[in-house]
Amino acid sequence: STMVHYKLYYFPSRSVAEPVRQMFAYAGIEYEDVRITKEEWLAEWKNKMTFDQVPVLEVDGKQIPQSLAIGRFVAKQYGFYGKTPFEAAWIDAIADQFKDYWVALAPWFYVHMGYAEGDVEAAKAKCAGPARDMLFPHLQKLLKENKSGFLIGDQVSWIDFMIQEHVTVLEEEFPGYLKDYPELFVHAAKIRALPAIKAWIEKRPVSRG
Amino acid sequence: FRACSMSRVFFYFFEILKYILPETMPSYKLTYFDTQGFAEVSRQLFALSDTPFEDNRLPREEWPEYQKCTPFGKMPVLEVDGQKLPQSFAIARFLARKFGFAGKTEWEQAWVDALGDQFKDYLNAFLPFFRVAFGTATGDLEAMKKSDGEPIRDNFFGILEKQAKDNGSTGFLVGSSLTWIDLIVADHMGVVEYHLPHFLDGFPEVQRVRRNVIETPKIKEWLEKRPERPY
Repeated sequence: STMVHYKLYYFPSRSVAEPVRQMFAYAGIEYEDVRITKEEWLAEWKNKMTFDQVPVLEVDGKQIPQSLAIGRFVAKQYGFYGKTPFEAAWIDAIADQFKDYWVALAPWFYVHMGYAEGDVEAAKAKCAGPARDMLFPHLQKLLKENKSGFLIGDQVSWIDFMIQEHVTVLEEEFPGYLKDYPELFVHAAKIRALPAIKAWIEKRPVSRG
Repeated sequence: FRACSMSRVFFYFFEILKYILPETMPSYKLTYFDTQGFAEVSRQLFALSDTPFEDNRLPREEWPEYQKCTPFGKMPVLEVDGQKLPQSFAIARFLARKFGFAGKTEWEQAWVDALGDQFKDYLNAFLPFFRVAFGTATGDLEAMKKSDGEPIRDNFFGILEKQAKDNGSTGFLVGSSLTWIDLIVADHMGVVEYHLPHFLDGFPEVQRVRRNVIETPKIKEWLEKRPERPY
């Protein structure tokens, strides 16, 4: 059988594309890691991408938009989606909760990273606590209850990569934000130490977030 | 006969049946406010598949107490044989897969998912205007319609219109049979048109999808018997 040809299109950063890159790394799957700069995006790429957005995963020339849809598709293909339908549903629920948290955090995050204009202290006062409360108490509870050290079930899944990537960014950009959630740092270190992930981290292009 | 009374009858019937015959279907309980909202797609999946469920509509005053036992502090929550699952789309996808409304191939499932995510992004952008339209927020409706409502609508419904057309104008957004994204879009259109008549007239392919959903016999039956709420 012929191998599937994958192209992953995103900006030159980790962010919402990184869980997909990590799943490919862990499963040993070849893919084209296409990184589009902001100038290239506006000049030539935006209208080539379905929904005028990235990330896009191209599978033998056909496009899937939306990072969570891409993540779920790849997770299913390569065994990062739990062992039962109920585990898969819980993985989905965490991915969706992460997205809701992200929408709440974004006003502060974007200003801090310089992606948007604004008063970073005002944004922090408004967003930081409520956003954190939406997600991290629940993840902490899951990690405390699951002996495997993974978020769901007894093997690494899509949302382990997703959460680890984001916690890593929080460690780098907002030290102290998760001081009441040490379990998240233990989890992130565990995922980063998986041999295939460690190797990927060492060779991947460096970016801030 | 209110829908949740009937489903309570079914619920207890199947609880007794389960006791006698251990290998019967799981028991389902869906808890949400007494509105369509983010639970409606899952209620419709139960209706489409003739699956009994407890349609637990929580009175507002009971929410603070109930919230303490939800996994993520929000509703809807689905209980499957007592095991809880949060997040409306995770619930919808779980049920859709079980009952055959998730998309027939992994590719179709990915596209249903992508449209679902795009719907969420659209709704997040659209809600500030929409809340003014249905009266739970104040603002200049006409000004916001021009600055926000129409462009945001055109962006998302333009995507849906193209998708429906590229999919062969079959009345389904993805593939050749009903999926949960058809249900979500149809329900949302009903809510929009209730508050903003003719706001979605410019999207004939998507209107075709909506008609297809509401004319599906089991959905038609559900729509006739469900408690009718403004959103």
